[in-house]
Amino acid sequence: MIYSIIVIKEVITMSGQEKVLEGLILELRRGTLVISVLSQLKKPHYGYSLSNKLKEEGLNIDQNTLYPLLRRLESQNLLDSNWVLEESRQRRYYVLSIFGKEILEKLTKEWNDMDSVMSRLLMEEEG
Amino acid sequence: MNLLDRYISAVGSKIWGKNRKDIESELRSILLDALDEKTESREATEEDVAELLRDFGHPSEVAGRYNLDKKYIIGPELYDLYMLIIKIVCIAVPIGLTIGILVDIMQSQQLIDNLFWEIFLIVPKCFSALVSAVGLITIIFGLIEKTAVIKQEDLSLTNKDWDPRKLPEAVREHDEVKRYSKIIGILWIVLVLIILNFFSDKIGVYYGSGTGRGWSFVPIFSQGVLSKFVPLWSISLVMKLVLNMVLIKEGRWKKKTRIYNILILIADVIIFAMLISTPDFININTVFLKNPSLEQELLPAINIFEKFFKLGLIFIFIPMFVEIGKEIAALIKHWRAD
Repeated sequence: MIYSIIVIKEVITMSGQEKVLEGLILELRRGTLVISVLSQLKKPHYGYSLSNKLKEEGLNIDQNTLYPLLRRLESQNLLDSNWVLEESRQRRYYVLSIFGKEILEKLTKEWNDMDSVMSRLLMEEEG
Repeated sequence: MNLLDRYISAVGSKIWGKNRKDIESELRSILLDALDEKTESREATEEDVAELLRDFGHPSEVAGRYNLDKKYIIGPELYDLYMLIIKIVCIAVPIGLTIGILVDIMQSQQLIDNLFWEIFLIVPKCFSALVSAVGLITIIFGLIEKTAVIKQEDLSLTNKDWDPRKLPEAVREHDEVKRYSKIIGILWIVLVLIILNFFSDKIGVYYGSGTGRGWSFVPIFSQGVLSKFVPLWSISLVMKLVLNMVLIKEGRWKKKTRIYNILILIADVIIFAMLISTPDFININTVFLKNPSLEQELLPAINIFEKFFKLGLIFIFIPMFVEIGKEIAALIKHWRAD
């Protein structure tokens, strides 16, 4: 009886820990979404093809997050978009705007700086 | 495709704004691409579409992601207090109104004759009063949200020109403003403003006449005299309302707000002194002059009133002077600290 209580308690604690971890990973990933999307829009993509491209590269973004994000980036003038009739279907293509290219450049530099700082910090931890 | 149309329409109906049609078109294109990939070259069945839509998410969730500008009447800072007050109002208004209607019924033989109908009318009257009360509270909170609550973007760290040396002094304990109490204060002021301006004739003494005719009512204040003072009181209350808004926004008492408050309090004392020094501002004598036969009937009410009136005056003036004294002391403290 006591053993089962301990097991149940451990399972509950584990699921609590998993939830915390899940939340933190989500937060970490959220911060990288914009730069990830911008990096793939040097060439035009429509929503679905971009989603597949990111998936191929190993980044699985929820579709419900990706499409509204594209619109937000467009409203911030980081992306240009236009409708194209293709295979008898209208598709909205997105591509980096001039402003978007400048921002991506700056974000990339910021990312590289962060990457080296984080690598140093994590190395110290391991050492 | 019917399912797809219904889904897109359901999402669209939850999106407010000029981009709705555009979002619907894009959503259609995305879903058709996803469906193509899912079914490869075969014809899509209704089950395929249903599964795809289930995976894509509930229309409310999808629409929620597209509604990027989170604009609200009442933001997270005020939401809990707003809900608390709404709950209190939802309980207090029907109780208060029911009591008021029952008193009315007891006062009037005509209403007693239509007792069933009058009781039946309590429900729509409560509903109407609740709608008005909730609407008014929402407007007040909306105004506080719009004018007084400091938004996150105001605290943006992107402004590099700020100078830490220009930051105001840390708030001293006695200068700290309890924002929730000021919001309650605003609601209270609005309630008093409404009563003074629209229902001042209902302020009075309700008493059992002892003649088997139920309840009688004597308005306390002479309407003629009161009507001269209501504008003055209203101005004072509106000034308090503004003060509370400023305090909510600033989160602290400053010298200016202390002085402003002292002036309002002094004005209140003057208005009140003027009111009580006006002859016949109490209604009872006027009523007797008009109808001497009422004197005997109103005797119980007069006794109650006379007994408590002078005591009441002391209880009104003393807190006013105490409040002024406290404010002056706080102002002196403020000056000394500077």
